[in-house]
Amino acid sequence: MKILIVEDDKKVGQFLQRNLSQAAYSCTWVETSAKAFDQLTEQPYDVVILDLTLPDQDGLEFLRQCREAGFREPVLILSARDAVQDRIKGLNLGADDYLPKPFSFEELLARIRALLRREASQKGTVYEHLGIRLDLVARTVTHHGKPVDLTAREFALLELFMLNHGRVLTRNLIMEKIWESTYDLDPNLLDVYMRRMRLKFEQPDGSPVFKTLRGIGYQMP
Amino acid sequence: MSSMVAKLTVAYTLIVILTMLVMLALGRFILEAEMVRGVDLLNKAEFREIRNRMVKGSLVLPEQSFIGDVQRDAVVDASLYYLQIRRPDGSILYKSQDAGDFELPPPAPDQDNWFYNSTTLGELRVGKYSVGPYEIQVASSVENIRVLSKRYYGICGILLAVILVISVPTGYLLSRYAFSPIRRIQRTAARISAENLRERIPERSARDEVADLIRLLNAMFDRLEISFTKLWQFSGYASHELKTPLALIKLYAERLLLGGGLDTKQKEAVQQQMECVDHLHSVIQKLLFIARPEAGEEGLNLKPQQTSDLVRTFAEDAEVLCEEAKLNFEVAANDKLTMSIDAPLITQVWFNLLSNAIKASKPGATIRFSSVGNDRRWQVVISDQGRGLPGAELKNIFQPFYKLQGDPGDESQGSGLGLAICEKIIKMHHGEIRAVNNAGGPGLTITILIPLRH
Repeated sequence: MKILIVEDDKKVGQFLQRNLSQAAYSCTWVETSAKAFDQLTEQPYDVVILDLTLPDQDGLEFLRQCREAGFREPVLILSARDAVQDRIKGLNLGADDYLPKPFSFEELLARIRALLRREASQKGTVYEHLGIRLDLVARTVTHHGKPVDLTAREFALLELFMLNHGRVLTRNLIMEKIWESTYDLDPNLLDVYMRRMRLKFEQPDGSPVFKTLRGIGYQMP
Repeated sequence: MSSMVAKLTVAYTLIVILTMLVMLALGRFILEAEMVRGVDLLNKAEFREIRNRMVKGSLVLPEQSFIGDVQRDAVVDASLYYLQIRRPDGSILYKSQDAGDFELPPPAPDQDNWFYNSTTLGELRVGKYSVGPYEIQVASSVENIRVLSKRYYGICGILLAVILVISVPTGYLLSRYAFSPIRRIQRTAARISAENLRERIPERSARDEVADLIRLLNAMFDRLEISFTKLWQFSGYASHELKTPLALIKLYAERLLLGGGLDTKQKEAVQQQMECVDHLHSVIQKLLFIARPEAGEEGLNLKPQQTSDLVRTFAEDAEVLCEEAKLNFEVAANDKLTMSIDAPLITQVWFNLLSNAIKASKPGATIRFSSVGNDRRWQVVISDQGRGLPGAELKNIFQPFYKLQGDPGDESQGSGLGLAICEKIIKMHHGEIRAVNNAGGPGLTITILIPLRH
């Protein structure tokens, strides 16, 4: 899997290159849009991570040129500019995802994985993990055979965790997926929901179904 | 603008009417003076006729030889003139017969022509002449002049009415014509907003006051555009320069945390660091939002939204948050509106207000939320049963960095920006937000009004 990183900040670029390589991706890091264009012309990439603030060109303008030139690589915008208009413009210009800075590396990994398997993945209809059985079609949940009553939000939360068990889900990502919000709604909201979910899915042996990763987010082991 | 047109129309009409009044008054004065002069000339002509009867060559005839001729002449012209001849001793030699007992008094020595009001003959114009030792007075009636004057006033009245009728619409059209370039300026200026700051009022080739005004305004828009651009650049620069290092702090801290190998104290420190980064990020976001130069819809992602859906999903979360704080949440909604709004931002406002209401409430209290709409506006009200606010502070709570006086403050991590952001979001939707203390008991009620646009 090959990733092209277009990022003008050296420290961020280095960090991404080093850590994505450790996560077994093959990475190329360039600092200008001109070099990025050359790279895309030379060889196909699986994902492009694009910073919008580039020294030689606006990132959004570069994205428009890429799409016009016929490059179809999935593009994840990584930007300190997260005004609504920039986000919408980016997605309209053919970006596949938008991650505002400061971001969590775990979240970046999750989003890259989502982009990579987007075409391949076929959503199942029934998921089972830790004694929880989630039926997406019947919209029912059982815990060790007993039916559990969930609100719409709780159901959506459980679905997100079941589909990504074992992975760290950052607060930012959960808020965006479940509340469709890129803003701070209420800092307590997610914690309150997670507390209620824990009560509904208490394990017989007392082991946690949802692990709190303080300062980062939550994880279903 | 329309009131300016009205004022100019009134001013124009007044000026026209006043000018007409002055002209007509002057006209009357000149006309009357001319007519009186005509009468004086006629009196003099009559006098000449009489004199010719009284004089032969350069000699004045004796009384007996001219009195007959004079009498004949006077009788022929009796309908037009009154004639009176005095002897040098003041006794009357002759006076027109048909005037009865009437007699003109002796004139003052310095008068040649004057008016005299008689009871029997009406108003007269008298001329004084002399032939030898005899003093001759010829008088004509001026009643005709007075009648003519009255008619003149009547005609003036009609003329003024006609002019009034004509000058009002003329004045209105003229003022509208004079204001038409101003209206064009107004239309263009109204279109200029943060989204199209490049637009300018079309300049005119003519060099007049309006053209000067347009050039002045366009120069002002130039400066405005420059400052907006600078603000945008600042906003983007600040965003990039602040968030990039923040991203690095977060990334490294997260690596440390997930990488393992930290003892409990170190782990605690890094977790604190991560939370601080998130808090700092949230404050930066809020500051940049407040500092964003655009104040209207251009900063919004407007989409048609069923308000009842938005209320339902919010109420679901609000109930969960209230339950956690041991509070009751009551929702009343009768709206079936489709509004063009930025739903995530509106929800953010509600969560902000709800969070304040929860902080202000004691366990067991009720927080009420209502959403009501009609064909003109959408009204959302959130009220709590907390301690309310001192009346003087109500108007300040939407100011950025405003913190309640005497508030313990630091227990909640309030940045003092929440309500300022709420107000900005609502204003961007052309709405208004206000806070009042509850009328019937303690607590605060916040009302949001957003107009429907068709």
